[in-house]
Amino acid sequence: MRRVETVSINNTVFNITDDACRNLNGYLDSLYKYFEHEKGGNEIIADIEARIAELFAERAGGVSQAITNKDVLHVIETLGTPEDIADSDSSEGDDRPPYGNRKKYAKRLYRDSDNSVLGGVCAGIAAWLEISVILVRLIFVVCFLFYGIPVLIYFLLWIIIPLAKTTAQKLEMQGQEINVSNIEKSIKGNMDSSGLRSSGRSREKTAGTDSLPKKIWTVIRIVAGIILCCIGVCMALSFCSLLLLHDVIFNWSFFPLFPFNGFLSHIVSRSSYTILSVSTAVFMILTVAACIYWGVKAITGTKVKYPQIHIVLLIIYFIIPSVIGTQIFREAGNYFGYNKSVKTIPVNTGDTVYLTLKSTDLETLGYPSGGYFDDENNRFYGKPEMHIYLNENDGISKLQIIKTSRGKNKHTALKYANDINYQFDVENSQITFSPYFTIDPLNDWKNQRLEITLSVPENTVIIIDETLCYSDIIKFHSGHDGHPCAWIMTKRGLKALIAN
Amino acid sequence: MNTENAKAQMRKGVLEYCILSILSDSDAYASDIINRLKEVRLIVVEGTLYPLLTRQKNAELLSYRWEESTQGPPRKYYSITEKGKEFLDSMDISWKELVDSVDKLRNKNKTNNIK
Repeated sequence: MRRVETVSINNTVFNITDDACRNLNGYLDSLYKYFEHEKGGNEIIADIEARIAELFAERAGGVSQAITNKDVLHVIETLGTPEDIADSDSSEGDDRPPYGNRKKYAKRLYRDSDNSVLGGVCAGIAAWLEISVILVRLIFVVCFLFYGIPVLIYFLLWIIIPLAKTTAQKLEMQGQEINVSNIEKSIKGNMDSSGLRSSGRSREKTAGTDSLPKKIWTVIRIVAGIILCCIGVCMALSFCSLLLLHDVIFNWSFFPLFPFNGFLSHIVSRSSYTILSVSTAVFMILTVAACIYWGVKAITGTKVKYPQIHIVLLIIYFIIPSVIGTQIFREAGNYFGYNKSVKTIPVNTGDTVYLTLKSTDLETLGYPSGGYFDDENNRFYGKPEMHIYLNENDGISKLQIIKTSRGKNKHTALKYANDINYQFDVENSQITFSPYFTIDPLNDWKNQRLEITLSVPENTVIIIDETLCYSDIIKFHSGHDGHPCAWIMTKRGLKALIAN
Repeated sequence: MNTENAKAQMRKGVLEYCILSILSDSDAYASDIINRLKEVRLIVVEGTLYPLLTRQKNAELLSYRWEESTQGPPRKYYSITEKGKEFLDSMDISWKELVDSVDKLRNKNKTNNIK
């Protein structure tokens, strides 16, 4: 479909397609420019216009048929370009240089409706400055972020800057010489693209003839694009700063190699690190990239080139959350089962039991009670808990090591419980404990616990090593001030002998 | 120097003379003049004619009147003035002289070549 305009040339009315009309205007403009300074220039133009009208009337199809670009080109060929005319022109005393040799062509700022999104302000400025439209638009968009004043400026420019309507103005906008060879080139370019348009997407109209709803849609699209871009940039920034900050706070290093791990160790078990860190990274990068990409696309209004890639990326995008979700469920699933392994060791003591800590591992006492991961040795340390009870039944002392763990089911839970590594030493009446137990780092986050119970008969004296006494490994059931290190077992439980 | 350019230069000077010649036969409107000139291949593009007509009119070598046309709007009919006729006569003389001189030169060259 083409719009047809009605024009009057030399008092004859013609129907002309809008692009042909623009080009005819361009041709006439170039002639005006040429004859501008000539005495009787207007008369010459009037004569030429009369001839144009005549040629149009003579052409096949007559007055009723709309004039097309082809007709306009024919007219230009017949009447000649200003250069052609200049070649045969013999005006004497004409001191201006021959038309074709004028080198400087004043550039003018117009709005470019051919490459416009809204009013063609950015495209016009880009043509004027001879830079990429995208760059101008990006600058504008970045400016939009500040207080919205540029929005006002944009609309002001929209009103102030004239629209490049004719081909001559379009050439002037690009700083090209307004001569007919250029106009012809421009017209032919237009015809080619309009030919493509009518064969390909016939309903697509040029931006210059946008209807109001389409303009509103464009505004919405651009605003959405700006918002998307902002979201994308903010996400990227916050994501980066989160990783960086986390690493600065927890590891005191500015250049993390695997920043995810430090972050993830607070959330999930070590066995899920790789899959979670990779999928989270891909997800975040895709999200940020998609936001910025679609934002820019929406602002510039360009079409998507390779939809297949988008579909693949979209599928990946939706697979990742399910991977993460599955992994989280698997993590949770590892808590379903519960089991414990109990090992009872009779201790051949006399009346007195001596409890001490292994002196070599004392620094681990400072580790947090919830467990500690030592990156250097790749070991997970946990703190045991110790209770002392009265053994009323058989009159002997017994040491019980109770290892508990959670797992996917009872079986795996038992395996994890047995995997707990704890060292202690019983030598006559002296029992030496390690202040920690260790587990396989890949099996962390299974809520492994180690409980030690010591059951002694009544009247047994228990002497506790000072270090062990001050550590909170032994849980005393009766309240005492200070940290008594010598106790006696009574019928009602432990009783302090000496208070330090 | 390319031939097209040389031809154009030659045509330039002759064109004004030819317009007056055509008008000395009978009055004509622009398209008639164009058709006559096109027949003898003196002009390539029609646009050339209009500035010449206007300039000659301004120099009072010719005048024009508006005449109703059976098809379309009224047309400009050009006719030669007295001053134009005088100018044409002087041009006739110079043209003949010019043609003679060129002929003589050409013939001399030819005879020289034969020798």
